[in-house]
Amino acid sequence: MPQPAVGGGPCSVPCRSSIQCIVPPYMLDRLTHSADAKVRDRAIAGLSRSAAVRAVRAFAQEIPGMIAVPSPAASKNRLVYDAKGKDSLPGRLVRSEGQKKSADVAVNEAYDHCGDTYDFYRELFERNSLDGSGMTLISTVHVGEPDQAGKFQPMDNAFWDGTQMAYGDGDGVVFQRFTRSLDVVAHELTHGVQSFTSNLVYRGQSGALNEHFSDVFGVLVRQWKLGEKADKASWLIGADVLVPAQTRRAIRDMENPGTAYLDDPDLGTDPQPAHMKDFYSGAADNGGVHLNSGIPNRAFALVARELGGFAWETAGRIWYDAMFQLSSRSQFADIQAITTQIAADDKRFGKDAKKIVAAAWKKVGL
Amino acid sequence: MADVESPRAPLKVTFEQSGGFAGLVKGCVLDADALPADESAELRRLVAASGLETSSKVTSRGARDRRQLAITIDRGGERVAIVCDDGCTPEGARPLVAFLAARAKPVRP
Ligand SMILES: [Zn+2]
Repeated sequence: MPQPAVGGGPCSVPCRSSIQCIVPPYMLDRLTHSADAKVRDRAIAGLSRSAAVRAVRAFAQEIPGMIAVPSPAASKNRLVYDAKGKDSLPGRLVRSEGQKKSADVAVNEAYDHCGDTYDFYRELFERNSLDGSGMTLISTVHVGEPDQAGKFQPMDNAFWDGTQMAYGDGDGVVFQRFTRSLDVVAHELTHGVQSFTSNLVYRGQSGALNEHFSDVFGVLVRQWKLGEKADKASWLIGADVLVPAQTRRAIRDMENPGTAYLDDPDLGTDPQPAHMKDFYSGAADNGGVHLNSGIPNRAFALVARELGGFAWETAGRIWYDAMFQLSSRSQFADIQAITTQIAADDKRFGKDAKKIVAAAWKKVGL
Repeated sequence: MADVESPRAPLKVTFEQSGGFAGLVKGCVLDADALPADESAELRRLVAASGLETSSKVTSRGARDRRQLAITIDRGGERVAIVCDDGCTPEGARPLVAFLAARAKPVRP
């Protein structure tokens, strides 16, 4: 069974990743002074290994190709781990590719939604997994976080740590299991795809584009799975992970950014701008990566609805190509220019596509 | 530096949590003087235990949808500003972050 070479997010403080912390460096350090030559040699080897592992991790997350865990047959290969309510990644392996259903619904959701996302990229874009070479899809469910007393509680979040997905179960008051939403799982996996393509810097406008692509392909995987046409489709993100309430419909609304929740006691009011005039320029959220993504999200939904048919066959193809053509520092003006240019191929997209794309960007203030 | 655990030492903590998959922005400002005695003592204890003595900015490299944390500790004019994310919060500061997060309310960014 292939095991991930690395896991967890590297940082300048003691790391909570299991692999790196099997024998803590300080303990190895101590053993290097041991009177027993064998112990000393092993500790020195271990210490250089752990230093090497740290260096590889730091390097690998800048260059994601380094850390892709290959799959045995370079094909769909899912591994689902259980953090058992703690925060150590990846946790214990509970379901591998081809194994029968688990009794744990979160495990099956992570497995199935990863499978749908893999199939989407493979069947529609001939892309073999996140890296295009069949890399293993690693998920950890039941991730927790400590409260002020140090007692672990279910995490209210889902994230991509640079090598794998991590999902919390939510507090049960506002959030439910993050594995419930196919669009959430596809969003996280698309962060992985991006790290092998445009690798947009996760800050400011390039970061908002990174979030935008994850929402675009998150929603497209769901629409594809449900067979929804663009004009009838839902453009909500994360509707299934919220505990239903009058004040909330979803986490984001791509068609109408800023309207997913209103005066909610726990969420407040959806802060996403729908137009450049409301562009957020503060420091929160890495310079508003989850906020300003509302602007290109709306442009995409406008294009998809206007082009008609299935969004993954029309607007989705324009945006997929754009994901490869953008660079890590691309800004909103760059995606505007590139998608308009790609849409000008009337053999692929029809004679009106260029006009439709240009009009959508204009409507959001670009 | 004045002993932050002393009930008379000035202490004001500003906290903002943003991002995460949901992109929520929440925050709170806690003034030790204005809190009930037990909360005030707990805040002082957690700040003292946090080890947050110098300003810093760190992020988990390669991570996406982590929550960004911004903490400013003002000890009567001596200010320390920390920006990190929930994947690389200094270990000793995690209980303080949990305490602050439990008191944070949605704010308009
Ligand atoms: Zn994201």
